[in-house]
Amino acid sequence: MKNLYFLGVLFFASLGLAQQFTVSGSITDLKNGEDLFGASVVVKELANTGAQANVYGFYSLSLQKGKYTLVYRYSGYEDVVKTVDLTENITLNIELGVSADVQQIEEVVITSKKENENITSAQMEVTRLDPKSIETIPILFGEQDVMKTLQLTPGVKGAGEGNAGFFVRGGGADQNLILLDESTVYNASHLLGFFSVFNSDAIKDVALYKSGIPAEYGGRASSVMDVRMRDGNNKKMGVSGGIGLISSRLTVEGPIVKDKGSFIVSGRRSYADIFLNFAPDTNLRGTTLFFYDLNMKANYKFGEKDRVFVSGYFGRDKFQLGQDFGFDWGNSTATVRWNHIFSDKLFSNTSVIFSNFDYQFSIGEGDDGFGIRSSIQDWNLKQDFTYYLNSNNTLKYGFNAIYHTFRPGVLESGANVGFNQIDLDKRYAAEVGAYVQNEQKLSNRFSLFYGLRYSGFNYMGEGTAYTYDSEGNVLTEQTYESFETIKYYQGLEPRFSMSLITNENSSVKAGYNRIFQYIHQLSNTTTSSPTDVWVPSSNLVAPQIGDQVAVGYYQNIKNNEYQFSVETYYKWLQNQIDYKPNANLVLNGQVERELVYGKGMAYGVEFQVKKTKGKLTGWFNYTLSRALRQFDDIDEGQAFSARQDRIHDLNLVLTYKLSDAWVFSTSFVYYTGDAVTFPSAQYVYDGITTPYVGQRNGNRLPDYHRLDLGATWYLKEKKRFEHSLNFSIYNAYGRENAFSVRFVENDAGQTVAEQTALFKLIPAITYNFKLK
Amino acid sequence: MKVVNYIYIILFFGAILSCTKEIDVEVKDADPQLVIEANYDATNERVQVNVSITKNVFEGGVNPVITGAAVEIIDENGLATPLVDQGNGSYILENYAPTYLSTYSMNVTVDGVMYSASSFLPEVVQLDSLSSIFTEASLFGAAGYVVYMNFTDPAGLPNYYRAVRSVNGEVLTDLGDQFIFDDSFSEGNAQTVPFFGDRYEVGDSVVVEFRSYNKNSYDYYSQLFDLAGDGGQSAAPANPVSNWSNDALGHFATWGWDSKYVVVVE
Repeated sequence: MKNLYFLGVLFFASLGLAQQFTVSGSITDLKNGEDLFGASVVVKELANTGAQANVYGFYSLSLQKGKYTLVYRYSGYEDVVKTVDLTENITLNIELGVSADVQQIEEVVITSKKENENITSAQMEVTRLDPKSIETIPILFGEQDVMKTLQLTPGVKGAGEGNAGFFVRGGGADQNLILLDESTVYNASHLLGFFSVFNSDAIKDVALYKSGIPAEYGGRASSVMDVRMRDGNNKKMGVSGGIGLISSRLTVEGPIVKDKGSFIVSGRRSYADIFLNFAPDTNLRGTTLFFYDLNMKANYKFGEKDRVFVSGYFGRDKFQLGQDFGFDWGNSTATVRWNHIFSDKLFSNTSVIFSNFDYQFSIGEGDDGFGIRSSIQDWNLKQDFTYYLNSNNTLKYGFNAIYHTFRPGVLESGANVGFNQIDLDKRYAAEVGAYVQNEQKLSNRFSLFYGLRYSGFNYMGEGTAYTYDSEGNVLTEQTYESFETIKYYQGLEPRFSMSLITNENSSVKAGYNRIFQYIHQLSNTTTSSPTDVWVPSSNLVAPQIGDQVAVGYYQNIKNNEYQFSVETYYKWLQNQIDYKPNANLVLNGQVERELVYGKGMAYGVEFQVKKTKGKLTGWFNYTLSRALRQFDDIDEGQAFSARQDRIHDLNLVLTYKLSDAWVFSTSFVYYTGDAVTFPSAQYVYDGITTPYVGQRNGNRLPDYHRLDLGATWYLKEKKRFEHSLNFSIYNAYGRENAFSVRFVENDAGQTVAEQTALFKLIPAITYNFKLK
Repeated sequence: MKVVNYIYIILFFGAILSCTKEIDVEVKDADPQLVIEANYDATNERVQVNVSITKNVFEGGVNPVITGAAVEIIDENGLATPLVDQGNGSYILENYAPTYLSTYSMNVTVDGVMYSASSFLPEVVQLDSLSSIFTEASLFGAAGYVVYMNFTDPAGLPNYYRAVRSVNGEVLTDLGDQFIFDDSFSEGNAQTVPFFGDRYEVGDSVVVEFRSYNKNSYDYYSQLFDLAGDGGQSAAPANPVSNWSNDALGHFATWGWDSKYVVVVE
């Protein structure tokens, strides 16, 4: 309570009484009309005074009556300077054009919207990427991928080859909130993690929050990955695309009514199954194996104050092996948004959001086959307000309510199989959130960003709630009517970060956040799978709670050309989930009895140097960290390493622009091998050689390292046509990194360790084009 | 669903790109643990117990056996009958007549420490017949005859089965040949359950010993087979849950069986 009071005093103390006027409007790209999220306007006459455009390109700046010079800027664009005589509230819509020297090739590798935003923003470091700026970085199969590139940034660890998902600062793979135009994406991978669902041609911008997470976000304990789709060109029609080894892409965009509305349709389909036709095993030929993505978005401005967006994503993986085996899964999302400008200080967005993820697989067909399917579906109503109180305070507040429907599993069986038809009870829950936050500048050097989120979770009928004894037998059983509350959880989530600018080129920041996570992904294999099941918090499963403190120091040198940062953090995770031996998670209506509960701790320090200008750009980072778990039921309560407890983690990414035609790039990755469980003894039981399992994750895979190389050749540009060729080599020196290690008997009857590696040296070539 | 995952990964990436090699890894050797493998085969009226200790992972040979232990089986009336030490780690009792639907206990005393376990002996479900059907080549096997077990799952209670087959007189004991299942998807149904991975030729003779386990034994063997075949894929690897006291590894199982025989014909 004391803290709230303190924040309240701070807030009201900052309300100036002098007469103020507001300049507001939009900041967009001169060429295609895209909103420039994060573009800034600064007041030349006043030190450290300005505003930033929000994700819809809207900005609002309140100043005392007077004459000002306003400078609008965005990294990679020419500044626009306006002089205003502020005697009333005015609207200024600004279009920024790309500066000549970066017109062809974006040199900045990681964009920060303002050159020194890493220093000045009160928010703890946010990792931002846009597809354009990473297009030259070499990636597996040459398929550009924002999610893969994020895994090269500090604090973010990929789950490894053949694995979807990623880990942020020691958190679990299900603790990342992945949003696409505000809609939750439950499974962000294709082909079991070799590709993400984010088609770069359709993506405008990605932001990853890993500490000091703003109060507007909630629901996952470790991080937020906020992906925004492009709006489409509202000036003229355009077609672009690419042809790659594994997949091809095509995007069409253009105005609905020039300057008022636009649309974009972007599709991608893989043709990996072609390779299977060359497989030595003839059974594999004629196999279907592909994925596709379709992103669609349209927006339209109704007058000066209203704008409507409709966006959707549909993606699916499909795998069919003759009549024997079929497996497919996919996400669908849809978002309808309405922006309304109530006044030059009050901006509103209302969204209705739908999300669905489902998988199904089948074995055999007709009377001799059976199939299983499962899904999770959300409806979400979300209302957000931004109130630009004055040039020192930007207030955000809002609420949302999600209705979740979990369908744990349906079994459909052919007549000859002898299985029953099983349709497990659906599970229902409502998740609500309400928040208020303020970004406040206390002085030219000291800024605060603070907020509070209330979250609640209503697990409800109709359905049956069970309790179990320690051996998993049902103790009690109670049925509930539709919408009857089975269990209600709620929590207050404080969020806080502050920055102290120590001089023009350096700052110190600190942050704290608490987040409740009410739905959980269960996976009892080390490789993630589309069959990993999402379950709600219930009478037995308590919400996960993540707390994190972080402190960072940031220093820019040589006119922001080099950016150095060091961040350190400690994270506590409560109500973590693990599994009893041989836990069965598929088609299990009483999955809670397979679970055990414990806690997690993670801490570390991340060093990074970025070079943002010049012919050579890129970054180097090194992370020293631990990720531990502790469960009463595992190893007698001793703490153990989480699988992703990679103690040393190092990434180097370099891009060199040789000329307007050629850009070369490389990335190098090194990390401590994953923590895994090897046997610590062996015995023969019932004729079978059986490992004796020692300490959980008490062993290590061999260290992982890999070098990738890339080159992009920008072919001669025509007036209305530009095109390029991208060459890449994944794992250039052919390191055999362990995907798994098995203990097997060799021909001499001796037990040996045998590792499987998935990839040695994969070359790729991709052709990209754009009709202007 | 490890299976689904595995099929998928191995098919696409395994078939084309992956490679395996032997590597040196460090393992932490545990102290030797006592392993008690105890079975009461009620149909054969035979009790056999094998007592041994674990050995290091990279050590060859069989587990060191424990002789000189005192082993006894106790019926539900508390009547204890000793097993005979064979001098090779095995302890055997023949002609021990069963009482179905009763609980048996066992005590094994090694170096003055007594290890105890108990197990319920369920009724035996009858195997009606075996049949064979010709099946085309697929992912699961080459072209050949698949053998099916035909039986009716008793309604109203959970049942747990293990099928051990002998082909042309030879018992299949490899991990990949283990076949254990329950009736959670097929409660009360007439069943035709295939050995889908096996493909037989005309003239092959197949005998199936169709065992009826209790839940505890089903769980134990499921966990054991899972662990032994896992290859590092489980996120929560754990030793099978033993029913012995004093932290001994292993299991005491009580079961009966029915058996059928088929010769594959065209």
